[in-house]
Amino acid sequence: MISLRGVYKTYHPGPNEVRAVQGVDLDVPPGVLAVIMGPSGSGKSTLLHLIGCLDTPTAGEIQLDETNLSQLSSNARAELRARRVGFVFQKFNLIGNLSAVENVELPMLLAGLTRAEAHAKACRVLEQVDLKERMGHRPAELSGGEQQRVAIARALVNNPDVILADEPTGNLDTETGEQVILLLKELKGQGKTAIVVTHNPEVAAIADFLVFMRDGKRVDSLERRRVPSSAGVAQEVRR
Amino acid sequence: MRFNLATLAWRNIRSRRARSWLTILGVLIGVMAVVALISIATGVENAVLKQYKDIGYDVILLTPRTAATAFGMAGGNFTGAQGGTRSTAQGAATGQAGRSTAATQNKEFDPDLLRQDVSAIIDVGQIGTRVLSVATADLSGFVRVSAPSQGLISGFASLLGGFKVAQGHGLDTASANQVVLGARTATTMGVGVGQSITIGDLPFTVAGILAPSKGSRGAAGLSSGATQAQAGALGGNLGGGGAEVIRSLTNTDDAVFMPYEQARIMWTGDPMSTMVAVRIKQGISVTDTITKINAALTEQGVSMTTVSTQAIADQVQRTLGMVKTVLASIAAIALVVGAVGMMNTMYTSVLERTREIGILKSIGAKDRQVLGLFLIDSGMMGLIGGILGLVIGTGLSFLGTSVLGRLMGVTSFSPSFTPGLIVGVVGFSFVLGALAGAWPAWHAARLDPVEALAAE
Repeated sequence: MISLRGVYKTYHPGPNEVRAVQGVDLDVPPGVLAVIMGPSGSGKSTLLHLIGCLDTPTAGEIQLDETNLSQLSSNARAELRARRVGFVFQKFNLIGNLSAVENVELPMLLAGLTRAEAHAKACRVLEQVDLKERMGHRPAELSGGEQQRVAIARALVNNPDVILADEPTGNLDTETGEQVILLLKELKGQGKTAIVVTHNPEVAAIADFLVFMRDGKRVDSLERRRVPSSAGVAQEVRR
Repeated sequence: MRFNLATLAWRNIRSRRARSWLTILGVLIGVMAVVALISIATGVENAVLKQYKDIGYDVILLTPRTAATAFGMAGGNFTGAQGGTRSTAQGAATGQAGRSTAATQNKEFDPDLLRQDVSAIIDVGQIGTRVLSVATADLSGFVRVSAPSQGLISGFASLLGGFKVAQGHGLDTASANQVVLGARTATTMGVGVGQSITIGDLPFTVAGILAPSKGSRGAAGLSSGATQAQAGALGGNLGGGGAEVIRSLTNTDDAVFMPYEQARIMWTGDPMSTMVAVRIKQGISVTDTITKINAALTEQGVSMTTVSTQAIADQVQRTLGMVKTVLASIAAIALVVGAVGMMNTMYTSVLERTREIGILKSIGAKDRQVLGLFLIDSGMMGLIGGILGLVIGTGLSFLGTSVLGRLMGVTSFSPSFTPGLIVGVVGFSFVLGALAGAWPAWHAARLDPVEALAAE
């Protein structure tokens, strides 16, 4: 269970301060796919970073199961990112000097696995995302869709409880975007908790849970059953 | 994880090849300078100390209180009949024919008397030296003429560079008017065994020619700056500087030798002994024996100064140690410049790889792991620079000694590479590289992951 209570995030406190997140409360039950939507600058990505321990809140509490993330040290946050959270980014964020398989090995090595163990597991996960033939290639030699699948494999390889995706289809063509949506559906099927920031109504269409953000505040929240179609979600976003 | 960090660091080095190699070059030059200068200086030190060891640390040298400048003459200077000049070395005669600037003691030294007075003495040898005019049919000039006693040749041969006869035979006290020539003197004068030369006004037959002396102008020659410097320090104890006397004596190549007894007949007027060597029994205190010798000499009315070879060697070692420190300091400046270059490279690298740092942090890298990555990166460049610097520096030091040897006529020393130098240089390069990368690495480790991810 992910739980946020009165979470604030203010950058540059003072006369030029930016209030990215303002008093957000949120509960995401385990095993659901939650989608955060909203216009640019509404605080969606900041909220995702706070949940994923990439950033710390200015005020408020964030709980992941029994762990209060707001009180963790820098090392403990890194540990949590390595073992319990998987990130997928719009720009893929793969390390250019490493091959696909080495990129996937990296989180496991950071988490303490041996190189042999990490390599074997990375190969298996890349096979699952249909990149068996491309695992020795570097990111620059892969298409956008392939890079995003490598990034998803990297996010999943440590078997995290939570997947956090920031515009995972934003840089992909329609067809590749659909492949990513299918992967997200599979995750849901595996009982993973996923929080996805997106503008893509196709992604929102598979969500169990929608959160709308505007000016750093949560403006609405709808249960999945109240979203009849992707067109309906698009309408909600515009509202 | 360390292996993987090393792999990632290696990939980063390879991906920025030109810059990495330029950075490595900075360290390489510094290490190369340290290795070359230290190994050459250590080689010189070892060769000089070996010379003293060969002579023996149980030897005490006695010289007149005023300097024996004849010993300072490195070689002869000859003028051909046609007006050409041939030099056996850089040195030029400063004395005049038949005249010594040395012996001014009140009474002539008597070895038997000293042996009686000081029971610790087991061997005594002495040598007289003059700069005299020497002539052949074609050449005339000045050369150092040395007259060692049989006791010096038999008991202190290492003081005479081994005194190995290559052609003919050695000095024979029974045969009058015979001389033995140093190797270079024989070559320069163009005379062989059985031929005649004139010394002063007297004719002599060349009985033998010595083999080139190993350390003649080698280690001792190279260290002349140091030995001359320390000669001043020893001046109060040993007129003219014991090290300089030894350096000159061991150079047999540029001298002419005649028996001590022959010289006594020729060189009337001044007391004969220019230098006396004394060997003492093993286990006897050198300092105590020197005190006894001084007392005995005072009693005998002979004015000489005493010094042990150990004291001379210690002084030379101290002086060469200072020279080594100065050389190492100069080379260290090059290393520091290399380290600053590396720091610049690493800081630029951190700026360029900010996004990568953000990615690493987003997938769970701890601050210390990011720190480690950059430290390994810079340490690896330092290590590569160190190893290459060691290899090239080694080559350079052999080349340097060879060139130096040719320039100074030196063949008897080679650069010295101690395990401490090799391990120290390579280890220091890695540590230096890591230290140079420490601040950029710390900067990288402290980066905020969100800001780092936002970097373009």
